[in-house]
Amino acid sequence: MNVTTTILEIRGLKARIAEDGTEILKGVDLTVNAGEVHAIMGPNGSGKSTLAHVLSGREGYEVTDGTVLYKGKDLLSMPPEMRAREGVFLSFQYPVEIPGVANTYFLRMALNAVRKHRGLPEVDAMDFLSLVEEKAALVEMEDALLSRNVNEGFSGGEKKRNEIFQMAVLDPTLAILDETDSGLDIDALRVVASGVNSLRSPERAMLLITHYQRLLNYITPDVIHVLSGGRIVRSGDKSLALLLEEKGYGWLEEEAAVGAGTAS
Amino acid sequence: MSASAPATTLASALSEGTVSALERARAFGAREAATSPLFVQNLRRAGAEAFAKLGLPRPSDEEWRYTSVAALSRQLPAMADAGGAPAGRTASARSALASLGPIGVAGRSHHQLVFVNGRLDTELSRFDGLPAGVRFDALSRLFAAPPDLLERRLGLLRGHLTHPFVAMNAAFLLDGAFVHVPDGVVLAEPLLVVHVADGSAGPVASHPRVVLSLGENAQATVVEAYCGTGEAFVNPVTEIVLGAHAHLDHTTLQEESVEAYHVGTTEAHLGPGAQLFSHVLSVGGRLVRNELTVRLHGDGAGATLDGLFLARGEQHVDNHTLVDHARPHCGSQQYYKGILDGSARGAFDGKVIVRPAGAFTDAHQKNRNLLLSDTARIDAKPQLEIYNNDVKCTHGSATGRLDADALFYLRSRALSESQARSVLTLAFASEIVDRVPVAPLKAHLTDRVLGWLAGNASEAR
Repeated sequence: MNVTTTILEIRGLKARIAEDGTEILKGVDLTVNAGEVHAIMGPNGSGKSTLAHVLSGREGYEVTDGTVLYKGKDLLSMPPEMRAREGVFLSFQYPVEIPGVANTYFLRMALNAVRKHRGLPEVDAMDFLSLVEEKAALVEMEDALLSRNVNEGFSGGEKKRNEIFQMAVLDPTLAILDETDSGLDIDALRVVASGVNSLRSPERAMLLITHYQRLLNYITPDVIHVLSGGRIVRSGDKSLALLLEEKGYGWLEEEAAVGAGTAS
Repeated sequence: MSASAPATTLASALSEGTVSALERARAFGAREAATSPLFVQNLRRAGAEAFAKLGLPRPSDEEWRYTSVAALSRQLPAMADAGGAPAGRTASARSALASLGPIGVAGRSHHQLVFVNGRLDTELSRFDGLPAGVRFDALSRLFAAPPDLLERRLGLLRGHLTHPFVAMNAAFLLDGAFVHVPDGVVLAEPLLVVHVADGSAGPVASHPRVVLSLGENAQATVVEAYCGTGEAFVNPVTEIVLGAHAHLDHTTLQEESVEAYHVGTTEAHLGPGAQLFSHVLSVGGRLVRNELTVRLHGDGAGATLDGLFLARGEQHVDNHTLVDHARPHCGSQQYYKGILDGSARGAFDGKVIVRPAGAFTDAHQKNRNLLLSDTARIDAKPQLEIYNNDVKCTHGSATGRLDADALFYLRSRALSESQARSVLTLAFASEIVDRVPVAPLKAHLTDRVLGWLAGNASEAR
């Protein structure tokens, strides 16, 4: 018997940019269950990154309506670090360079913050080392990158590998991957995708946010959603991605406009 | 001027302070004359006379534009002279030294001179076992039979004739350190000179003098550490002379109490091909002025000047540098950083002069400041004066807050906001801390920064 556990439940989410009041998300509905990988595709400006930012608690956005439940808890009322401790992980589109902070030093702090929240003792130095070795292998991270400062001087591909490496160490329940394929050549894409695939598990949910179908050649999602004009206008299986690849986003945007016209 | 005196104008307070200081300097000189060689007596007299003429710096003095010594001049008359140390000073010095952590007295494993309120503490000091020809001793011990070199070096840089605080230091010269490393000798082990300002039995003024001299091709690492408790005025002067191709790594660590006034003046003269790596690190003090002048007087000499200060509450820290490129093919790199919280004030006033003879100069000056509160303030004044066209000079100063993207990145990885702020602030400091060559000192500094950050967090709560 299969028991479905809902990890993420977004209902009628509306959000705007705090600074100028521009509404970006205009009523997003989405349910992601444990074990599922969902892809959110959409043209530039459709609100994909805003959705990732709002879910991770980035400043600069105002939620004006709707709810987001994460494992039944109100996600939006949690500060970013609490979301992370509860098991939400955001892989950044543009990972931040942090001079002066060594990668593994930072990651150990992060892991210990998560463990403390879960009532676990701090990770032992030797255990941490073997965990790092094991997870670094998943994305073929070189040792040199581990001891260097966080993302400082990393290539685009190295930064994205580092994100997936961090994800592997922190073992989240919900992973949100924001444009993980951007800036990657085909080899790096293959490595990153295989890292992500190895982290698929029945307990974990993933949300892939991507402009291009390319990533989905390597990571096969269970469901694909098309975000357009701040709403999900179409959902389907992986064949939808191929359709988008062939026809672009234009036809969906026109359809959405017609649909909206009919409804009013 | 007594504490109960009616409010006076700043000008009259300054001149009264000067007069009283002069009288005291003369009395001090008379008291110490019997135990001092003639050249020391002369230096004291010259300093006292110069100070009487110069007086304390006024706010209108461009070099003192960002730092007022008015509060210091009001406190000075009430301070005991150096040498009149409280009883049981070794005990209090021990606890102050303990605050220096691994570089303090623990085990006395290295060579160190410890001065308490300006006077040598023989019990805490260790001189023996250095290579032949190396001098590492207290001035007061050398005054009975001073080496020729000390007579030639002491006051050589002549700041006591032109600089009010150096003049005051000369006038009240009592004790200090003399370091000489002869030609070709390389000292692997760092030499430590500790000055403890113990104001626990009432405010004390001390005027330590440090004379560092390296012969040709000599190498040494010297750490000057300033620590202590209570109210004090510490007015050290360090004179450095480096022979041809000598290497000196010199650290000034200043972590006196937040009631202390610290006005330190260091001047270095570099011979041909000589290299100086200076680290000026300030954590304590109510008013701190670090003045560093480096004169590149030999062809191909080079200096790297690092600085870092942490200030919070009402602390005021002023870093003042002057690098004088007087000869061809000299290089200098300055990197000064400040971290300010609360209502702290900071200043960086750095000047590079390239003289007409300073062809092929390669001089760079960088100043970065981090403001952790809305009420902290820093004044930065980088200056280049160039009188030769064939040079490469850059300078830049930037002041900012913690990067919001980096803060969010760390928080999105489960670090609390205060943890994230600490990590980023430590990272800002570590660029300077990591270049300190003495490992225990580096570890101590990291602890200091972390402790400072924890203190800030608890103050904010």
